Amino acid sequence: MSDLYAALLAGFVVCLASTLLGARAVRKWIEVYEARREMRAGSPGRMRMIRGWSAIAVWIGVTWFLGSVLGDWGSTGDLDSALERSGARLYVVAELLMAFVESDQ
Amino acid sequence: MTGGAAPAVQSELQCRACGGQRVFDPATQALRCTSCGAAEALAAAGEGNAAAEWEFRPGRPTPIPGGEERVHSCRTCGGEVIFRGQVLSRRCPYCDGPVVQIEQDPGFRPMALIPFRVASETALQNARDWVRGRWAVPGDLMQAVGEARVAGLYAPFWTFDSHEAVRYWAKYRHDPWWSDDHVWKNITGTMKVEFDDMLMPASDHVTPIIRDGILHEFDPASLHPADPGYLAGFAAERHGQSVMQGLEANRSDRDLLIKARIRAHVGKPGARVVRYETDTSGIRYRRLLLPVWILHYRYDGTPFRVAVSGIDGRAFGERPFSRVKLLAISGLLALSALIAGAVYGAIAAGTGLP
Ligand SMILES: [Zn+2]
Ligand SMILES: [Zn+2]
Repeated sequence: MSDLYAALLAGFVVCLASTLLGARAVRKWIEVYEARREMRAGSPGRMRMIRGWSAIAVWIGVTWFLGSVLGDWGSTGDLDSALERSGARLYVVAELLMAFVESDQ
Repeated sequence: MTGGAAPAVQSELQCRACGGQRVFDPATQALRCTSCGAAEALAAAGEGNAAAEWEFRPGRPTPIPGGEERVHSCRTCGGEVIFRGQVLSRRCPYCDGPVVQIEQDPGFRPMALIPFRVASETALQNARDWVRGRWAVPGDLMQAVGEARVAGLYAPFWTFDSHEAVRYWAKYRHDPWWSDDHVWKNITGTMKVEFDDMLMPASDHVTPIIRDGILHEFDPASLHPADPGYLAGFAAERHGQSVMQGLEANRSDRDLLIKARIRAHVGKPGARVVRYETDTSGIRYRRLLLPVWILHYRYDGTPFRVAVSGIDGRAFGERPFSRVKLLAISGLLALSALIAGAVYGAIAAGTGLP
């Protein structure tokens, strides 16, 4: 049972860190949303405002991935296996986020 | 330091009926007397040529005027009206009468303008509505904005045309992101890009970001000759830069647009432009004044501005963010992502999903 509490505590720490790091991403999110709605289509200013949107995907993706490891750990009580199982998942998430970062220019 | 006398237009702007001050009225597109209300439509001399463009010939370096102060003595009250820097039009500080300066150097004289069509009340309303519609602004922001007024400014702009013969080197991922191979394919190509009426601000009052927020369509057909009557009662600024400097300032916009066209030409998602060469020809330009209402406000000691197009009333600008609200939204999203991940992780542990 102590594994569940440890996972919850870790989840709290991850949530706090992700919140602090995410404030910038939220600001970017709002700027991108406004630029898409209000700035002239195809204009250089709009391109500049939208550039960097992949930071939002990276922030959400990394938080989700850490959550998945903690969820596995909390439900099975086995951190080593949870980390082992997350290897393939990490690969997929990293590749997907890389694709986002590459298309953000 | 005080420079020479400023050749200026003033008596022509006074009312023929009562001698009162006349200002340009956006609602009627006429000079209107502030005393008796008499209105006179502006003479349409040279109206047909207003949209003409000029060919750019590099070479002749041009000294930039505007460092000196020019003094005009007011015909109405005798007060000193000082034109500093790039100021072309202003009101007399003593009697509030409009005074419009005549630019002596044809290399800096505005060729045409689009007159104000949006009145100040509408502009102020639109600027406030724009701020009110923002997300995650500090709760007391409207108080700071409420005290601010809008100022009408004919802001200096360039339009540039050019033909670009582009040769590019680009690369793209041959395989989709989920495959194990990471092979980049190189591609070269040639293409032509035609730029028509790229708008470039020539003053710090309007940034390229604000330009793309408020000036959505530019129609050369709505250009008028830069008659002093249109400027009466409004501030106006001349171009503090030569055509060469304007082109230089426009370079990063042009670069961004060419790269976007190259990626579209390659036609593959995530394509990267390695480099390109372009042979630019047929550069044509206009030196214009465009009507912009600007609302300046301060929040927490930092200056911000909201601009409103004097053509169609579109607003866009700068604003502060509330740290607390950003953190609250961030916390909500982080918690959601974390819980979604945890649920997935728990399911994956039992089912053998990756
Ligand atoms: Zn009058
Ligand atoms: Zn005066």
